Amino acid sequence: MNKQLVWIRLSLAAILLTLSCSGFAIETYVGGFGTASLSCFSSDTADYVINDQPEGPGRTRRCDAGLDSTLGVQLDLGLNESLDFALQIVADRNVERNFKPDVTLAQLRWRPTDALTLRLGRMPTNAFLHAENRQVRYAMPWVRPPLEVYGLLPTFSQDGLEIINEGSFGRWQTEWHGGITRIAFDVVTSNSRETFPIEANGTFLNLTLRDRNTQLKLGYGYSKTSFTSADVEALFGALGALVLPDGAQLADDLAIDQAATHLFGLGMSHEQNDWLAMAEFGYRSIEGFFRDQYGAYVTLGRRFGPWMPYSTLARRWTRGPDSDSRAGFLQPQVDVLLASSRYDTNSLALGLSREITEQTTLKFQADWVQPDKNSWGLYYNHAPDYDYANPDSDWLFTLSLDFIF
Amino acid sequence: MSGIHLPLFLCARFIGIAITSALVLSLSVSVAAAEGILIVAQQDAEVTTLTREEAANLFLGLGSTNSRLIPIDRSEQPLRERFYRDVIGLSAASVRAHWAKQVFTGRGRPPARISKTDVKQVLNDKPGAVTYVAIDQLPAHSKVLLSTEQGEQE
Repeated sequence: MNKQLVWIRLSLAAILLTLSCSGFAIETYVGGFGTASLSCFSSDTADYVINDQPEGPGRTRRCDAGLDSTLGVQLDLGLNESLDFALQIVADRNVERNFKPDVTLAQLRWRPTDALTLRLGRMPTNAFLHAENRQVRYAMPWVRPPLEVYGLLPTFSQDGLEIINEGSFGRWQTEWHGGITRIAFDVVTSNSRETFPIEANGTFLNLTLRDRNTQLKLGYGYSKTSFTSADVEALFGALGALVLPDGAQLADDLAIDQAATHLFGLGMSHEQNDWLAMAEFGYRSIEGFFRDQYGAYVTLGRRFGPWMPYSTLARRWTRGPDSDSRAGFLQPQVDVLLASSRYDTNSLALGLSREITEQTTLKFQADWVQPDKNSWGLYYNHAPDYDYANPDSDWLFTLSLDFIF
Repeated sequence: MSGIHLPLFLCARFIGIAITSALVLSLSVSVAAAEGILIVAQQDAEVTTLTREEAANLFLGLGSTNSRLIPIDRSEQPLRERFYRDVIGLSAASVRAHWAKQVFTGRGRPPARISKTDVKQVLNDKPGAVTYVAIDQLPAHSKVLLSTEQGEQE
């Protein structure tokens, strides 16, 4: 059944159930958020994309309005003092190259005590400082969160159950988030329209510490991840079937089938006297052929009334084997597979935001991007003449208008 | 090795730019608002005092806030922005961004806003209501939980 239909039906069922329980004493809120954006990327040999997008500015087209443009609408139903329901639908460029809306939030929230909250349904992923609101660009200082860290989280939403405990520790407000989740989404193959599914089932535990000016976040998630594609399946089939002493074992080692996956995030944000400083580190490891990924960034900004100039320095780096001698005569193909997740790159972003109204912010950001040697960078749709051994640096310019309503 | 040298080079330049910017910008000293702010509640309210941290958490909807207290924001922009800066310690833009994040991640809704003319009635009608006023506009039959003129009441 269509996933959208399933969620809408579940949401309606939840609404009807809660309506009947609450005696129709309902507080209703409808609001939304969005970004209208245009980006131009200087590369002729690859596209700059975020998350699961199949194309972006660069090789496919020099300038593109689809990289960051988003529109989201949310319905909140306050059913009683401790129970509410939220449904959010967001349209942005998806894996099918269109802007078909997707359900990103469909949760029932119950707050039995001041310290305890339970959420059930579809809710935002929550490992990094701005992971929950990645699509609400109005609520963040940048045009988009640094891909070097936030690209480690390929989806915006997860389905499951979350328990939130709030308390205090000295001057700090503490917030523990723990839960069980399921994530399922499709990814498109580079330079192709072929898609393949990714599924992950797991648990997570996050801790946020806050005082008035500072926020610290520690996040950890563990899941079992499965994904494959036709090319990878063909290679594993050959490794397993051909007369190689360790071929079957190698195929098993490289496969990502119920593979143990670890995601770790550590972040800090501090704002005082109009200064804003943020820094985050992220790590993701998937058992199999995918390299371990590390990401980090530092952001510094300063408010001058409605203006805020800011700068971000970010890096993604990877670790993992470059080759495996067990592959025998298939070693070149295995080496290509092992190199496919070499995304090592550096970027420096310079940005300027200007509050137009209380609900509208205009932002301009210039990103200088330099992939490492022997790296694909965080790009997609590489051309045959992309210089993997020694990639060029490129510039991405983005003008965006973030708004809420 | 250039993959290691490049980020180190960028880091050094980035930190250099940041320090230079800080030195330059620190010369422009901001002038604190002269007018004080009172955080007030109904005279019969159970709560007697609030620290700045408690007030910030209450108005930002953070932590295990006492649910019997109902934060009420003010619609007058200058007063609101002064409250955010002097009591919560954040710019108005940061507070708006905070609430956008809370709302659109299904975590909560911002406090309702009232105007000056409604303060007295709201405090009378809602036993747990907590709002703020300019120091010379203390409503009758209300109690002060925190005054920015006198510092925190412990």
